[in-house]
Amino acid sequence: MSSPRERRGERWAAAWLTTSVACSVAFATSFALGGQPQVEGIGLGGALLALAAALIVWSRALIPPRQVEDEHLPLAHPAVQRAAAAGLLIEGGAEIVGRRAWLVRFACAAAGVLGVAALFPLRGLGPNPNGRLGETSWKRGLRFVREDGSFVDASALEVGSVVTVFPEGAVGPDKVVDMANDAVMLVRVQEDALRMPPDRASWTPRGFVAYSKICTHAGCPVALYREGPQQLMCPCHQSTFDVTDGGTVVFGPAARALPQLPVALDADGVLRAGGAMSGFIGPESWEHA
Amino acid sequence: MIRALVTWMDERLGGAPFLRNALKKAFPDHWSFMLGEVAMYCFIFIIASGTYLTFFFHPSDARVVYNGTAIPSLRGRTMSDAYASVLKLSFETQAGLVIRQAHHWCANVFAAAIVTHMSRIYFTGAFRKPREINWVIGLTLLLLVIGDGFTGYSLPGDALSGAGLKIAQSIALSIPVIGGWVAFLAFGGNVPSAETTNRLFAIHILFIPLLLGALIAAHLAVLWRQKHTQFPGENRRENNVVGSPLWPNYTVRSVALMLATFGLLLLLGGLVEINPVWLYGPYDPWTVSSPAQPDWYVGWLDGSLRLGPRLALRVGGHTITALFWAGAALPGCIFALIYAWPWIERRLQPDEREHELLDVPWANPLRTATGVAVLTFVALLLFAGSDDVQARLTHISVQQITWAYRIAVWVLPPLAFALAWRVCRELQARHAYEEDHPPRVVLVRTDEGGYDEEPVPVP
Repeated sequence: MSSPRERRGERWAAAWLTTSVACSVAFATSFALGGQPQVEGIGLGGALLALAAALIVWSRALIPPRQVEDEHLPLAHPAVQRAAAAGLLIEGGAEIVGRRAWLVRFACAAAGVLGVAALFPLRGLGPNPNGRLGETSWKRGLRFVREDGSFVDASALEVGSVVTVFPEGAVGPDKVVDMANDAVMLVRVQEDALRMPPDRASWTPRGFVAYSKICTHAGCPVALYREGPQQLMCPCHQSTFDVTDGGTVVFGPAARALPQLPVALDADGVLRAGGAMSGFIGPESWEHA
Repeated sequence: MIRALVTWMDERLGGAPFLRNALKKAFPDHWSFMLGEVAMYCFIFIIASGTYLTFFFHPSDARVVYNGTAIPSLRGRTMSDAYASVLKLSFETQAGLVIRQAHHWCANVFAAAIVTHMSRIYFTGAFRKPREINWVIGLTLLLLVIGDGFTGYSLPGDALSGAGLKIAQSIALSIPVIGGWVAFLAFGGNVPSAETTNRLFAIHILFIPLLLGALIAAHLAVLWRQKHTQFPGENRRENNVVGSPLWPNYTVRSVALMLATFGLLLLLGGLVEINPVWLYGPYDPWTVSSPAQPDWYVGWLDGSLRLGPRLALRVGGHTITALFWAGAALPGCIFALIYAWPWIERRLQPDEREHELLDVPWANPLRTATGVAVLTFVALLLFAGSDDVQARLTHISVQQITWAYRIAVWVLPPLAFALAWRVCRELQARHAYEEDHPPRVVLVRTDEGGYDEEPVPVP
């Protein structure tokens, strides 16, 4: 004869099992009709959760609670047994070595040489980074183009405008890896707002200033231009660079100014690189001096 | 049938006594002992759902032009084959979106289950002798899950994860001496490169899951050998463990937990959007989405980078960069501290005994206060990881918020330490007082609304 508590448990468990079946059917039906994420989630998840609920009711109301007791026997064994095990190890080791210590040293050396040899294939898993980090395709005279390859017309850029530019001949779907390094933020500011160091005075004709778009902190694109304070800001960690005085860091974790690209302006309004990038682009690393 | 099966097995493996003991094994009934099980079931779920996803995902950085119909705004865009295949498996594969989102949710729940499980282990002193091995294995599992989560959400080739990959590679490059090799090995060259997604895929679905599987097996084997700890209580001693038998009581409960975990993850996968890569757009290295926040288990590292010092050192023709301190050195120190804690605590509070009975958290103020301080520190880093969102919501400048966090990460953890210490001491004093002064009477409310005194019932 089952108790009222058990009968109540049976009813609840049966109710949850029914729910589970309904959810399974809903899932299968939705799937057969072409699928719908929310219905699939509710169907599949609901079927499993309802099954779980049925088992919880089952374990609480229908299985008699029982407590068992395990013994924590000491893990450690008597010293004799430990000594016997250690003794076996030592005796066996002695048989390997014997009086041939020189041979053991030789074997260790051989394994060491193998280890060194194994470094070569490991090295081959990645190209050598030395000296190639932070280089760009920018050279004196290359014209500025947009992502789609179109040339940038100086007269179309008002003060306050920003455009991401690349060197001509280095854009396109097959050049994405190069474009990642070459991206430059071209900004036009008021000429009298510029406070460039003397050796860079000629890099900013008519207020056109260009900086590498790759943050010197962790390599994110420095994509945000704040027109008021005339700063470039990296959205990843908020490193902020002053556009008017050579890209110096004014806030955030970056430790190095943004590399600057000298801008040259032809008589016919074509924008070009006036020289190479002022330094390596992107984050510093151990490889950089 | 069952008898025949047991006989067959026993005649070949001699496993009948083992089976008998296993079925009677005691599992303590406290709910907190199930947190680790949630993590284990997450592992099963993440392998199963991930296997499904591998049928449809293309780990390739080849550039393709999107011609699917699901996201009209992206038609004609050039993107990686990986990103295009994620769009396809999300919108043109049946149940694909549900499984992908459930898989991603599972990574978040998995890491959360490990952290809460480890907190239980830590604050109750379950890591003490003889359980240091499982403490070390468990923390390694957390590291691997963080790594697998990161490599996983970096696979789709979307604008958000692309920036994350670049940051991770920059951190690897910042490590002294070996950084360059580590970075180029893990990412198959500079980031972005044509090999990156393929390399990450191998790490994500093969290398780390194999390690996870092996270490979880070791974790369970050690647990089985050492048996469970238990909270102090009636009939609980250092040399026993009291609980429900594995069969039938605990098995039913644990299977219910497994089904509930799976069900919850699928419900989340169907109803709660996570990582909508079609909104971020494909990754072009010169674009980035803003705001940009990683999953929570990586978010504290991102916060650390945001607060990091602007300090680069030149060492004999090389550079120790600003990124190194916040991105590698600090998390390295935090994990080293957690790895070493069982030995640190034993040095500070000499104790060579084995412990099968757990401490209540206030029983050891030094341990509890240290744990609270470390959790406070990491939580502040996690919050700092979304300082730009907080700036947008509160209209306070992100510079001011960043400075507030820079101060808070050094001021609040010591305060949390002091507060936790004080609370532990107060609780200790209260319990000592109650033991010395057992109640003499019990107040009972009468039917008329008054109160009567009755003697304390003898237990």
